[in-house]
Amino acid sequence: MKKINEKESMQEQIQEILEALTEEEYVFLKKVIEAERKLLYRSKPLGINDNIRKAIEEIVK
Amino acid sequence: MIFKRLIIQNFRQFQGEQEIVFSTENNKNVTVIHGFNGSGKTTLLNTFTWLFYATFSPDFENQELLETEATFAQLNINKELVTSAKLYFEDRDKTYMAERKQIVTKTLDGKRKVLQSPTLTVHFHKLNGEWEESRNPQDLLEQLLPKPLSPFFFFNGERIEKLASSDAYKDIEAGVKILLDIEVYDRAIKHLNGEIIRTLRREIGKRSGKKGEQVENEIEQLEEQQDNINKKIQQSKARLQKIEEEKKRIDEILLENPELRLLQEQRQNQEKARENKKKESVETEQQLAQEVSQHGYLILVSNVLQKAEEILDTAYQKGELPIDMKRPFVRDLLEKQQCICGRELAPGTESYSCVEKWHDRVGVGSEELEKAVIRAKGSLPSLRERRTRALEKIGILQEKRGEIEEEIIKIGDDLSEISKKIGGRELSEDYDYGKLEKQRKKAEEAISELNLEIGRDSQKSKSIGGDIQQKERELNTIAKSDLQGQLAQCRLDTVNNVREAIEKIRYLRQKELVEDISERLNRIWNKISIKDYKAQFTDEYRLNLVKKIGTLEQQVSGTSTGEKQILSLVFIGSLVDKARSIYREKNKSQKNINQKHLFRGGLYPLVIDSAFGQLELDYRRDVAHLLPTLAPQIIIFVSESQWRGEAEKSLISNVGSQWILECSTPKERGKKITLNGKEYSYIVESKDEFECTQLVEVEV
Repeated sequence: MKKINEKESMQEQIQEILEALTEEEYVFLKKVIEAERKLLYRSKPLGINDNIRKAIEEIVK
Repeated sequence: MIFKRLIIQNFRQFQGEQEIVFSTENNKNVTVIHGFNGSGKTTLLNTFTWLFYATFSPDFENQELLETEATFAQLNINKELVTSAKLYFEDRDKTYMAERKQIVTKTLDGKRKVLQSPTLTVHFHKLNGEWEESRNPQDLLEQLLPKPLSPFFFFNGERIEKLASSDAYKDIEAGVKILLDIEVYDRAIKHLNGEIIRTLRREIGKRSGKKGEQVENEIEQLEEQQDNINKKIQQSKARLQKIEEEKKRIDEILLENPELRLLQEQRQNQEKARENKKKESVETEQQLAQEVSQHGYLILVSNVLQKAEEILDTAYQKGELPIDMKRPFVRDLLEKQQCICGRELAPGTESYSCVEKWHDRVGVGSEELEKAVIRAKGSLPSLRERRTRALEKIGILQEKRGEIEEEIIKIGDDLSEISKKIGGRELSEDYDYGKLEKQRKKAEEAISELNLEIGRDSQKSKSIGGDIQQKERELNTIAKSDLQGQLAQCRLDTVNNVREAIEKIRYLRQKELVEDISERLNRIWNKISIKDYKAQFTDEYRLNLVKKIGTLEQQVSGTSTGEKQILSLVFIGSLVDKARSIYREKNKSQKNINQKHLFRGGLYPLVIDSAFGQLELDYRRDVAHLLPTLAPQIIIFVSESQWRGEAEKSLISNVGSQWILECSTPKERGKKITLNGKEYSYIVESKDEFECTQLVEVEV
């Protein structure tokens, strides 16, 4: 039971972190994670900085 | 990822095209492949790693010669010989077909020539049912099953114990971080913190006049300094790890000697006790610092309290306090235009003016002052009491600190005594214990120095980090010359906020994962192990066994290979199980819709050669019970001796598919195997001088 509570508390804390972000920030976070995940299999993810830069430029205009 | 079928063609001893179908049923998720020594079990395991990553296990000899010897011998000059492995599998509701193919030919002089080096193609099923070829097959395959994960999914049970060795944590860390979605956060933090923030800041610097450029340059210089220090810390940590391993090696040698074992165990206990005392000392220091910061002023104001009391007492004695006349009383006299002596107080008269002066003299301040004085006088005893309590507490803490320091010194003396006893032992056939002890001492000193150095450098790095933040705040406040500058500032703020959010999520995630995996690991380990050890997975991704001695927990030295094998297997199972539960939660949970994209998880199969290694019967039975629960799909390769008895009894109800590697050998030596009540050829005599293997399905 304690474990479940701790887990829910972790999820709630993450939820709070996400909700504290603005809409733009949330979309950017999502895009960063997606971009990183796509290149996760590469030890040197070439082009990742360009992908993140494009994302921030698209989102914050 | 669930494997459906594997088709191999002219791959080592597997002549021609042969197919193996894996069990994909939920409650019969085990596929067993039976084979005599040398029949091709390791080859089959390597077929998977070759297909996925073009790599082989270190025990796979002559790695460039993949084609079947017999087929090459029969090959005509200039004809092609295709060697391939083709796997059909499912991942996240999508079907894939991956094939790696190599073509060789025979030259006029009968030599082997590679026409096509190993080439990978991957197709996937489109919604309309047609196959589409991937343009980046290797990338796609490694996205589905990243290479650092391969040691967890394709392994030899007899060699798996290396995961539980002290030098394996780097491999474990790399794999665990990918499998459980920590790596993705680490990389995001690294990339946002690096090039992205630097570019935006440069842009801001350029558009914030000379002052902006100057601040930006200063930040870059500070970052360079911090990078250098961080690199130094990493190097020190690597050195520290090596020295710690060396010390551990010496300890293991000392433990092996029956005469020194007791001394060495005493030393380990004392070292653990010293470590705990040091922690206790740090905690006491912190409590002391907290007490002083909260109540320290009371200790320093002792004279002030006394003086205040004296001043107030004197004022009371002189009649200056309490102030007799109140302002409302005087105002009342002026309003009624009559003094207390009965004289009329007409405005403009001398009498009125006299009383009015009194009104001003008894000003607001005096009343406030009087109230404050009364309050102060009332709180003096309580302040004095708090001061006494704080002094007492500080005294107790100082005394405790002193005691701890004395205990640490005493433990140090004991340790030095033990060291002398060990170092004074005579030379044995294998070791010079005096020399070993000197090496150990040297290692201890180096560890202590390196820890200090790392601590100092970390402090420096943190301090520079603070300076960088300060400069960044400064840069924020400098007016931007145009819209571009303002936009870059907005972007930088967004990047910084998101980076902070990712750091927090990563911290929470890692904490939960380490606790959860430790708990899973321990639960399964407890069921299997006959010893009262506790399995532990640490924040530094180390896999340990610890035992309780008194109130202390101590790492187990000299763990047997069998115990390490079980621990490693249980660990892999815990990881795969966790990845599976993340995947299921992600697909089921609607509660936290925003979190759905954060963690991925997945279903992964385990392909294990010699799953039961050299385990004792009891362990073999327990591992066999455990295996079907470890992963959604289990493929194991076993010899007859590994399978018969406990393993068969415990596993058979979960077996969905069985195959025999029927081995042909030029020697006249046939052997049968009985499975599911039917007899099958296990070893047969070949028609030529070559060895080859045929895959035969066992009837259900």
